[in-house]
Amino acid sequence: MKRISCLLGLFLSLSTFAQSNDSGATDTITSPIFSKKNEIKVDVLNLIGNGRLGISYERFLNKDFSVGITGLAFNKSNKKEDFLKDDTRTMIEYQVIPYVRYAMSKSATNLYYLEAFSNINGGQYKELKTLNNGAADYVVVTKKDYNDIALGAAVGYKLYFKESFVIDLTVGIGKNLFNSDSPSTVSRLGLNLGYRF
Amino acid sequence: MKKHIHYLTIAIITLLFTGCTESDDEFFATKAVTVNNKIEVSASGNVLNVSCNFDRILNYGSDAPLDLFLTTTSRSFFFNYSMQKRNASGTWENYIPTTITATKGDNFVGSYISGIQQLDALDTTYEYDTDITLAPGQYKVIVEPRIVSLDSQDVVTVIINTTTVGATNNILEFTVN
Repeated sequence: MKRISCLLGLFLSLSTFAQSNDSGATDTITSPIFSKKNEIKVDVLNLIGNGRLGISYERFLNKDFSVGITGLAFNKSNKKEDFLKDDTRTMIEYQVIPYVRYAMSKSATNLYYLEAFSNINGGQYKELKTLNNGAADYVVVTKKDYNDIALGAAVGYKLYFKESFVIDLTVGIGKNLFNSDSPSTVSRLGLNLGYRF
Repeated sequence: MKKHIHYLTIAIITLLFTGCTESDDEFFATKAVTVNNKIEVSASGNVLNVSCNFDRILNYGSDAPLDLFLTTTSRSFFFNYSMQKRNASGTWENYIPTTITATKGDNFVGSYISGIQQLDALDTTYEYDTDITLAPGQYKVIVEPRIVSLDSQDVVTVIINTTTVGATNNILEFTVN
């Protein structure tokens, strides 16, 4: 946890740095990007790294604030069959992540942002169960379903190309609140490629 | 240049962050029980005998015994022990025996010995019995009194915490003349 706290501190420092390095010259001309209020994205990091399909939609309210929602679904044929045998305790199968973002830098083409998010997540967890066959006990690994809601924060960076295409990197962490069998923390990691319209 | 450093910093932090959150989720499926006197050592003449035998249906003080094979699906358990020999100046130094004969079970010999208990043909008892033939000298055998299922990482690992018969605090000192 100490390492996570240090990292969050570092992210905030980075965001402050980004804000102080914005050039005012480019802001005097209103970019056409600001007139486009919608953005859709696909998370290539989770798709390649974890076999999770992640799709996001973001709506820009003004130059500073936007709201959005991300859906992440686990590719079941990938790891699910090995879940009982591997050394992980939980397997997240889906995540729905509504979020609010605040742009730390005012540039239209590249910007840092802060994000507050909620993460509705569910999947399976493993536990040991003692059974009896009439003669003796034996212990097996069983799996059960869980659902939980996490709250968290993230920082990110966006870079626009040709006023419509975007690369969006998000890094953050959230804490599950209600279920002791769910993962204690959920990461918010994404490298999204998208289109703004 | 400053921009590249910035990107690199973010990339490194992302990787650190991934490792941090994923490692919080490790699952160790282990069942630990305590049953005393399951390892036995004795020295006679120039032979050290080490044995370890226990039932597949293990009574461990609970209402019902534990079926070790159904729990672990493993036909082998192991425990480790090491040997020392007193040299001419009176100092104990690590000793790796060369003449080891397993009449039941098996041995893996390195800087210490892993004694392997194997389930018998009737599937009732895990067995290990080994004779170590020694040259004259003063010896010490040090037993780690923990018997662990072997190759059961797919299911549940069983650890039997035990004690050693014939040794004080799991250490036996003896002399071969």
